[in-house]
Amino acid sequence: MNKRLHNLLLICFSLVISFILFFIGTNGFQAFTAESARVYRLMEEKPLFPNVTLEDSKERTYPFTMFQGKYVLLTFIYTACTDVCPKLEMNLAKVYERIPAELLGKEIIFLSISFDPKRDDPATLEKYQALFNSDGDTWRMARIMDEVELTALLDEFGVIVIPDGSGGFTHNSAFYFVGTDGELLDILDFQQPEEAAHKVVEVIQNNMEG
Amino acid sequence: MGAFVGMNNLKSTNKTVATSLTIGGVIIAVMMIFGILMLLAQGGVIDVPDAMFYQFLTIHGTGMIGAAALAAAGVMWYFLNQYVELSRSIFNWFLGLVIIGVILVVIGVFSFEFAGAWTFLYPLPTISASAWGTIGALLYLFGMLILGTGFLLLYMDTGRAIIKKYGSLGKGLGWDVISGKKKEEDAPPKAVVASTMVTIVNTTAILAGAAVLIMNIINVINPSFTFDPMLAKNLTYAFGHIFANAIIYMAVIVVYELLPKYTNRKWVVNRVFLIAWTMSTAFTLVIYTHHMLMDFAMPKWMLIMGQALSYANGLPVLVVTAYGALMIVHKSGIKWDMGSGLAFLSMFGWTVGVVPAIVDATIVVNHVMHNTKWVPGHFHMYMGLGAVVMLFSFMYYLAKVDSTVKESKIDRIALWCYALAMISISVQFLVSGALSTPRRWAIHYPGWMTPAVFGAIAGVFLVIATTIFIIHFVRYMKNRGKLGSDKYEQKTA
Amino acid sequence: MRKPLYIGALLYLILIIPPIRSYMESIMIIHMLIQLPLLMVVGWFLGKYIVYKAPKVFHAINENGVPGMILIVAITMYWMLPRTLDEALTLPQYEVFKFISLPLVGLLLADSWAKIRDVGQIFIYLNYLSMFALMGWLYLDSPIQLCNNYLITQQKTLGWGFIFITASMIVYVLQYVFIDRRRIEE
Repeated sequence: MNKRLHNLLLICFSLVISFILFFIGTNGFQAFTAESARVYRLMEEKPLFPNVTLEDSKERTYPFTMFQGKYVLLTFIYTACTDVCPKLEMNLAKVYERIPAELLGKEIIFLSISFDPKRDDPATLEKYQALFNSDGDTWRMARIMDEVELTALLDEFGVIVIPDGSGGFTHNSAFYFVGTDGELLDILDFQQPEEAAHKVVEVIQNNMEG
Repeated sequence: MGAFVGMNNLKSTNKTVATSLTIGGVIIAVMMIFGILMLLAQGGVIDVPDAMFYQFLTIHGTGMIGAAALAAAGVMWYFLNQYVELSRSIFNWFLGLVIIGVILVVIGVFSFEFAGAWTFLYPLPTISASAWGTIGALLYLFGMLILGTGFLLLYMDTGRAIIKKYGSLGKGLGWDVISGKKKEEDAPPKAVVASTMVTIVNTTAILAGAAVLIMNIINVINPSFTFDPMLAKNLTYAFGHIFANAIIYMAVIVVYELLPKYTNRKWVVNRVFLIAWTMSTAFTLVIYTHHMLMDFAMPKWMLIMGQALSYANGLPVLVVTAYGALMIVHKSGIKWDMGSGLAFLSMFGWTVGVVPAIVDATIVVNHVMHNTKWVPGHFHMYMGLGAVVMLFSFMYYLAKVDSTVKESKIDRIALWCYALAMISISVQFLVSGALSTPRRWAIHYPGWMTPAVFGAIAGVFLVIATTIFIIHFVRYMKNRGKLGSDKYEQKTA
Repeated sequence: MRKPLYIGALLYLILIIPPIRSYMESIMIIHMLIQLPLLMVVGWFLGKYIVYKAPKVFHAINENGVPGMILIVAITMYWMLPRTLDEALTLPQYEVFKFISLPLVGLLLADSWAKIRDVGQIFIYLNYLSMFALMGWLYLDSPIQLCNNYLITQQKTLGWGFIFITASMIVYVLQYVFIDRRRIEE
């Protein structure tokens, strides 16, 4: 009888260890993919947007700090992308449409950053932004010329870009919501533009009232 | 001393088997009540909220299939155990897991309002339009998974035991007799042949079911993991069809074992019998596609195969069994009692129940009929008048050989009551089907209501009859082991 | 009896060598279906030796093999989560955990497999069969990219790898149940 109890205890013990393994391994059954885990960790770290120099579709060059005092909703793209980027930008356009006009440009800037600076020169970006009715001011498309700066940004924000060997990239996608001091506020699901727009407006209005 | 130990073992063996039949029988009776409630709601007699109707539909389907499979597994285990060495502790594990599974399913359906039907067709568990939440779906799906695990354990044990005694599952089906390597006299007994068939098809079914259940669970937990719905449907029906179909192949063993004993004649296993079972084994595995005759995306050859083989599926075993049963009873001077009476009724129910199925398996008819109550008409006849009657037959048989409890006039009346009520219910469904009444609808137009009300009234008689059957069996449970049993007699003889 | 110790240790060292390690991890299917199983093989060999050296310890903590088997199932399932392969590439602590936990699986397997007897073995085998089929389906069919560090085509390759394993396992089952081994022995 004692032996059975002994075995039973051991079984329970191994079950508990297994449970702990899965509990920790999935952040309490929240994150099953690396992407969700990445979002989870970023939300805990709240990284600051590193200081980078942007060159946009109107050939203006300025540091990211120029947006100080404004919220920024940004995405990472490359224009030669044929799969997820058009969808990502379409959905960003949907968010853009849902933001009240008086906030655009004043309180919030939309920004699409290309991680393919060689091909995405201002002229290409200009052509690309026309597809999504982006005006180049309240919604800008820009590239980062400096390799070191670009890598630092991608690292800091957990963007993983893998060349696929035939000129394209495999990369993860999301909306990044950056606060007035360049701090990362939230990572939003790009497949839910309505929810994203709702959240963004709510945060801005709370800030204006507060 | 040896005989004494044997008898002790036997007593507890009979107890375990009887437990599975009691649980199965009681659940079946309770599920009948939900059936009546649904018919009353469709008939406009009582007012059941639509959401609740689908909860009833879910629990009725799950409960009936689960309980019938549980009890049928008990029947199969009881007889197979007389030919090969099965593990009783595995049967206990099986019982325990099934009970846990049932409890989870019941909580999921009633406390958390899961109502995705027993087919849990992907992606319904996830997208319920807020009719139920994640917890309800997870409880249901995990319950089914645990239930399936229990059955998997059981079939592993039967497969292991058959291979140990006969060498391989092929030999369990008597392939060496079919090929002429072995004489017909040395063929495996009917109980072994049937058990081998069920072991093969149900292990396959459960593995497919486990994959699709876990897939549904993944989708419920994280809806961004999506799967090909057509493949999911294939796996779901590969599981559901085979598992439900196998119930009758487990339960029919009682007919094979009981009639020869009652008539004192031999029911020989011949080559035709073995070929029929092998054919049904193969066909059962591949004909589930007749559930998908309306899915235009399916490859055409699969559907045609589904139609052609559906005709051929049940027939071989049905014909050899029904013919064999008639031959053995014919002019045998058999003494009719509840056990043999029910066994004979089940042969009738099985035979007539197959007819509407064959009609529905025809692609042209299927496009019109498959979503009408014609189909419930078929499977209520097939299950209610065939498979479940075999279970009751076994209950009376076991009570007779293992106790002194006597059958009374009430039992005989219950038999007739059951038969007439079940026929009425089946005919009611078939008539509704012929009237183009859709199945799985909570609300009926007035023109569809009459058969439903008729069915509900018949259902009341059905519950009464079933209760009488179960009371008899419970009385047996209390007076168990007074006579010893046939196996004990064999041993001492 | 020291032979398995040497084989295991040698294999382990080979797998740790940085160029070999990074090459194996650069291709998803090699990472999941060759590197991870090889780590278990390492554990299996080491386990043979350790169990032989200290049978009493294993008898005390893992008498019927069930506790060990539970851990084996948990750890292998853990490494089948889409997330963990990714994390092993980006976070060193996951990589370290991989090189510890998987040999542990092999070690426990060496001790538990015989102890759970035929019924347990068949049960475990059949469960892994449907799990592998599901993994194949997941990697082939999922419209979203499951891993950040691998291309979608690599994911598909892995999916086919799982399907291949499942098919092989089914063939094994079929020959197991339909071929009468008693005759071969005679």
